[in-house]
Amino acid sequence: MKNNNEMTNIVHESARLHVSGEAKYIDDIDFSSLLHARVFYSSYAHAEIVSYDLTEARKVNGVHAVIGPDDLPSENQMGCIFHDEPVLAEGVVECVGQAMFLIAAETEEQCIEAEKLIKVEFKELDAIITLPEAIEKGELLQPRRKIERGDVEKAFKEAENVIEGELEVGGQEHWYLETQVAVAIPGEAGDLKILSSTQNPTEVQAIVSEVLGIARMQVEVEMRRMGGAFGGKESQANHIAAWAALLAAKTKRPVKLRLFRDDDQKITGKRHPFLIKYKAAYTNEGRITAVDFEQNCNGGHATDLTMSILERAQMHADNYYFIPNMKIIGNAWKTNLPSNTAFRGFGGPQGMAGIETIIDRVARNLGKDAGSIRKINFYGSRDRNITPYGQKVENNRLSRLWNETVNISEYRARRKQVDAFNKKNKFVKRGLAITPIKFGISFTTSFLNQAGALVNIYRDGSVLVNHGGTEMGQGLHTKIAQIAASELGVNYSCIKVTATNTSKVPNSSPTAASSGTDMNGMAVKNAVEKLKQRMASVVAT
Amino acid sequence: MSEIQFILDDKQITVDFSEKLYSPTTTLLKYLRSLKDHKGVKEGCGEGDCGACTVVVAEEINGKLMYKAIDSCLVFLPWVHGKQVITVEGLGTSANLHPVQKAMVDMDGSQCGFCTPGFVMSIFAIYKSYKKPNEDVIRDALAGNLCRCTGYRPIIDAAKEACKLRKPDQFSESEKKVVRILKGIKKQGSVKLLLETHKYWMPETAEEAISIRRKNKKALLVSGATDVALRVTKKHENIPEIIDLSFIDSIKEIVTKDGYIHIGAGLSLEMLRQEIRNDLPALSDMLDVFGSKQIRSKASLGGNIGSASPIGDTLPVLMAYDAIINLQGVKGIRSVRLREFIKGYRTIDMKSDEIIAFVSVPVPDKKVIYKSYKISKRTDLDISTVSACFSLKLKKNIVEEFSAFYGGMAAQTSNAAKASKYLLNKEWNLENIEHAAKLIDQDFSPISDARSGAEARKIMARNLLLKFFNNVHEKQ
Repeated sequence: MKNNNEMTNIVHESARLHVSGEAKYIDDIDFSSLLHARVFYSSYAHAEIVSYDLTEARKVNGVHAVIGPDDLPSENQMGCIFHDEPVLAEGVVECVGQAMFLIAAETEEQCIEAEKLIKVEFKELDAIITLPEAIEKGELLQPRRKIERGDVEKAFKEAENVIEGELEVGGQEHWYLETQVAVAIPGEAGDLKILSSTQNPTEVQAIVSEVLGIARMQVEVEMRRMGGAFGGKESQANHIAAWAALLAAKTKRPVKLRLFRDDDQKITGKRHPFLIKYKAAYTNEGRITAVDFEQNCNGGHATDLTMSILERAQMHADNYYFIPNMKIIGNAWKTNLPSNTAFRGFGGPQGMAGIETIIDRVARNLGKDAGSIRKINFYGSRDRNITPYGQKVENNRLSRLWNETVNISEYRARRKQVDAFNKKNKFVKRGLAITPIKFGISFTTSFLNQAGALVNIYRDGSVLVNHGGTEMGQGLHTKIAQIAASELGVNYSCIKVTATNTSKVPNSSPTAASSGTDMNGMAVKNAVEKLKQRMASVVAT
Repeated sequence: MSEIQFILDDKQITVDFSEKLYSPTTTLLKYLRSLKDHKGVKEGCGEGDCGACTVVVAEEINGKLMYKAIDSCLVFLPWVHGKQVITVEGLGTSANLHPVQKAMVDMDGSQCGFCTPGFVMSIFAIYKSYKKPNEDVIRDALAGNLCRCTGYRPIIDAAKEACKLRKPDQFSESEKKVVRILKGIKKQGSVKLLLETHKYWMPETAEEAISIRRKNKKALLVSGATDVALRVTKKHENIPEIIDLSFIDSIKEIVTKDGYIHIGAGLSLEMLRQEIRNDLPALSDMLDVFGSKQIRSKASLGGNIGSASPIGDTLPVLMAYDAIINLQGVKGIRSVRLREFIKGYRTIDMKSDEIIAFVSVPVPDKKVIYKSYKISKRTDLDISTVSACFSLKLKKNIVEEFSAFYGGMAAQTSNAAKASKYLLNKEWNLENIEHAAKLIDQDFSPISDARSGAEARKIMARNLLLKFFNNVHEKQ
């Protein structure tokens, strides 16, 4: 890289387009002969579908298709890992917001008019909403998961102190500013091009091809930029694209499905609520000797990514503390809610909240500052450095990070001020905490930890870069362009990163798990190295 | 007649509703996004909660343009008649950025970019309206815009940076021309959109409005329409007849006369908030946490009173101040105390030929303490769970006058009668307050809803009284 300053003072590759309104999101693109789509969804949490009638809805002026489960060309299934999520509800609805019918019409208003004319007779069934209800009912989405190390029971018997309790962690709505959206454009011979606001174009391609019963080579998925995702578009963008694709295949017209905010909030899953039951043993000085966790998560009506999220919660249940005896049970309960899904941290925050609650209680019981209890339980460098799941903690730099954070934040002085304030004030209180956070970068499903890139060098010296990651505001494309420029030794302005596209870089992994830059950046680096070698051999001759 | 005229960025536009491309209840957002070159304005929620659809409207007032940010999703298209609508595309292009846009780039103010045009427009409104806005002004102006990528700090930095380098822009240059055009549109008189499917009247005088109302009893009155618009955008309702009172200048004035502050019902809540900060502090405190600047700039006082919602935030305050509602009808003005004007859940004492013309608030007695409170899930842009306004007059620490008007505790805003009666002529001390707080439980039986359980509402109501006691105590 020639000019270091140019490299470090770079704004988001789309910044000028963002601020001028020129950045195109999927809903901003005009198509000729476009149809608008709408999802008719369940208003019951759990009910039998006794009968339905689509006749009147199909008669509405401007309506081109109303699709029910009987009209599907292939298997009624769109689960991303486990096949337990129907494309359209059949016989029974298992949550409010579950898709039942799809409508395509010339305008959004006509879709709404048709929606009002769909008649369904439901027979309401008992619904399970909360975790205590689900635990009582006892229906798991998938088999229980367990991580165990040491002898927890023995440690409790020998303990100086034992605490027990429960912690509830609530759900959370992603509220990406851009709601879920996809456009499906029919091509020749049954091919489809899909523009999808997705973190995972490859999975959209897979699900669309399965739902339509066509080969993946017939489905091209493109994603230029999302208006936020936060995990909400890791698996559930599949559904929106699949629904649009079904309507496009049926009508032979481009179809756009953009969820209104209210519908998006009802249809799509959220962060998993957790109910964590715990028992912990600790010494009089505050060292934790044993923890028994039962992590119960509310998975909703289908599995989606729940098991990976639950496993991540289990693998973050120790946070950054060495706990010699530990047992972590993970239960994914089925409930009558939209299937809960990935959300920033992917189970990690819920897992860490459990152990931090224990630390806090230990500190209160011993009358000590929670920070000091945290510190004496840190993983060690030479010993006390194996996690309950058997990973060795290497290059441990937490003590240094901790000391620097304590100093820079003036934690001790602030602590004194907070204590003094709280002594003086009866009604208003202040709090202060210092907490380490562990986060496991990369996928626990390890084959996903790979990426691809396509780098085109044109004869005028400009370079077009494509890779498997998606841009959702995190600046991935900016970083990729920097990597390409740096590796090629050219100016940043010579590089353009284009929309992610399954026909350019196939079989990509989702952009998730804080891995987008590391993986795709290395793929770009690898591609550039090959090109440089080829060019070098030409130059040498 | 079926046309409206306005300026979009720098172009003069006529929309003819008889062409049926748009209806009078088409929102400004939907209209703009239907155009090829105005996709910068985004829909995030369709209910004024996210600000992604923010545009700036310039209105001609006394020969000058006043710029304000509004949520375009809550605007019925006819409302823009005679105004200039400025969009992010009108500010500048990626090749030629406006100073506000440039500051957003320089300060790294965008991440996913979807909220960005809305933020740019909110900042642009303060750029045009304030010489040197301080951080409070900036934060207040941005409270109606959501960023979900957690980028608020750089956005606030961008607003500061832009305003620091404030200089005349293309809108300063075109101001005279725009004023001339807008005045020209106004001169053509009031507009009625009488179509097969919809009727939308935009009267310019109260008399005209009353006469239309007499003949069209089913027509819905709107002013800011920030509440009514939701019936269209969220419930997909068809509202066939609307009388829009926002073009009547005579009901937008505020004057103090004969011991009363007379507030025009058409005055926007934002204007009101700024005008009465010194005279009615309990009201301006409440308006500080009412909706967002985009909503307050459009919503009217009359609308908030007339919708008579149990969580209408101006109501407990105006009731504590004992405001009088002045209704204008064919026979002239009829005055009713607000405390009696609200008859029940969303019902008011208004006849079918009347409109709310102005609200008269007695100039507060300096010896009376007024204080308002609002409890909601977050500070800005949220609906009240419980709100309250207290008034208190003490003489040698004995309660001479007391009222406690609560919102969110019953089907309508009302006084905690038993608690208030108990406190009269008692000593103002904690023991008596705690006893009165217990009586609030008998005064109200609130409901449980998405915002709170009934029991929690009772606790909040009791605690607000204790808080008021504490705040009075702190002052003395």
